[in-house]
Amino acid sequence: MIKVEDLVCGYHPGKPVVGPLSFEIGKGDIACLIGPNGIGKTTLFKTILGLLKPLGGVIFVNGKNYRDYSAKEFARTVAYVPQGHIPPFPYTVRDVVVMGCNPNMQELSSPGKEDYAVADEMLELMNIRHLANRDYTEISGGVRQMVMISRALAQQTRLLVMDEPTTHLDYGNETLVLGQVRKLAGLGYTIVMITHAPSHAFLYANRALAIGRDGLFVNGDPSAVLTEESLLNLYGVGIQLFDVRLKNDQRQARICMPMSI
Amino acid sequence: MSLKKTTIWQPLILIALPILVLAFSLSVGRYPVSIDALASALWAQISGGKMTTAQLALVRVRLPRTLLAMIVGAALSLSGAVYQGLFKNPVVSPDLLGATSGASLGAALSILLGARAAGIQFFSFLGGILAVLLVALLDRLVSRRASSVVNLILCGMLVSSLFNALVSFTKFVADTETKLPAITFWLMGTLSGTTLKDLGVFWLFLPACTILLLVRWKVNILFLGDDEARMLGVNITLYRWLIIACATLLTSLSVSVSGNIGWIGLVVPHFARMVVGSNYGKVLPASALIGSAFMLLVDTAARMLHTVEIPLSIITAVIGAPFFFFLLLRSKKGFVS
Repeated sequence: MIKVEDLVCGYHPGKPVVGPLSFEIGKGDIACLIGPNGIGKTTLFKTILGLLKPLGGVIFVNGKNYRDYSAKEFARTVAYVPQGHIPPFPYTVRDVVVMGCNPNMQELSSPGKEDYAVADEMLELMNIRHLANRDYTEISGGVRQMVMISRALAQQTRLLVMDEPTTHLDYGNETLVLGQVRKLAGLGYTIVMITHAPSHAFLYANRALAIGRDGLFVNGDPSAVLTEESLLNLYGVGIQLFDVRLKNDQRQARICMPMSI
Repeated sequence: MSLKKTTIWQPLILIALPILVLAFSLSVGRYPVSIDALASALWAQISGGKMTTAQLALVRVRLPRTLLAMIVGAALSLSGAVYQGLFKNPVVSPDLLGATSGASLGAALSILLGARAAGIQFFSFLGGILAVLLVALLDRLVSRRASSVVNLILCGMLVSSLFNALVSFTKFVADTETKLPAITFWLMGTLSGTTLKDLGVFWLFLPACTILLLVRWKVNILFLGDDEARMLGVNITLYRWLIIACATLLTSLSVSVSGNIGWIGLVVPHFARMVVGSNYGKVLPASALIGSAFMLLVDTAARMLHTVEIPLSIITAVIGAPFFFFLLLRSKKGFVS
């Protein structure tokens, strides 16, 4: 799905922020990008999204060098889910989602019946079809995030790149959004997301990419990548991990807890 | 808002609005004309039949200026609406990138140098275009890596304020008996003296309006910001400059034929949004229709209210400012979020 080789990212040539990194993310993966503030997660993200030119290395998306994609073709391959924001004018939820159809539309054209049908289908998939005619400015943060995901789905890509999908969300909405993310992975979507909570990687992801200081980069199974030792390294605070059994089906889950509690 | 739900009637009402205002505006004035007389005069013009003096006055004097008012109103409202989207700012108007101050300077200079009406129009139009080209050039120098909207706005402010200073300088050196009043009145905006020949500018307005209406839905996406628009597969550089080019053309043309008319480009798009919602697919056509009707009403008032014509910019401000305050009162979360 996405393959990165010796990627070096940064804003100015000669001043790399992060890298060189090499990793591969496969179909149906949920990959969490984890690391302390200011380490270059967003820089890496922007580079993967093509908003920032890499200072070195190559990125392949579906086996094709991402520089060979046109803007539209790229938007049909990779969809970006930004943090839910509020525009100054109130668009309806449906109008926001149908914007995702743009890469599949002609230049100079407006969305037609089929495009709105795609938008409705994606709203249905996110269980928010009933909110289609509400104003995007007036819905809750959790729903806004669902709308952003629906818009990304309307691009008809199989790869979703999410920038901290659960920031500003209450605990219930966080769980709902991440539940939807897992459902999408089950449907064959590949998801890469930045997260600040190691538990998200344990509970929802099957891959973790950890970026730390001094060029530290590990990637692999979350429980292998995120150990008590590596978390201390990443965040500079002691963290203990526990394996617990879930009440309803006896599955095992890993949770983390700060040492200083 | 209940108006949003009346989907079948809404476009019909919006289209009927400027037509009704046109009929009204043509029939009122120093020589009132009945609807029948109006129809027969128009028919005489089309069929080339003989016309009475009153009919001639109607077709040669009143008709051109009403039509030009509608064109200017639609053009300024369209430009304002797309700029509010492009620059993600609800308090933006078409003069943002200096088109208005450039056009004013062109007009003021050509009046100072003694140009006639056609010359004033031409240099005013040229001034507007040159001002925005200067903004584009400065923006390129400032943001070499990637053009950002903020830099563009700052360059626009810079050029506007410089050109406004030059307009003041032109007034300062102008002859106080003849040239200064001419410049001052021209800048305040008027459509009096419009002839059928002046309507030729329609063929410049038409393509620019058409392009803006064609890209109307994409403005929604540009409105999300550069990064998101790019991720949705929009060629932002292409669309941004296409929109700026069209809006500049429309604004410069408007100023060159009617002088400096404020408020329309700022207020009409908001009024359109109140009626049709925020989607630019609807906001742009609605702005054009409402803008043409509104401008025509303003011009009708300008020639009716007083024995001497009142400058247009005074009337638009007197109506625009309270309306803007009404919008501020009405908005729930503060106007600019």
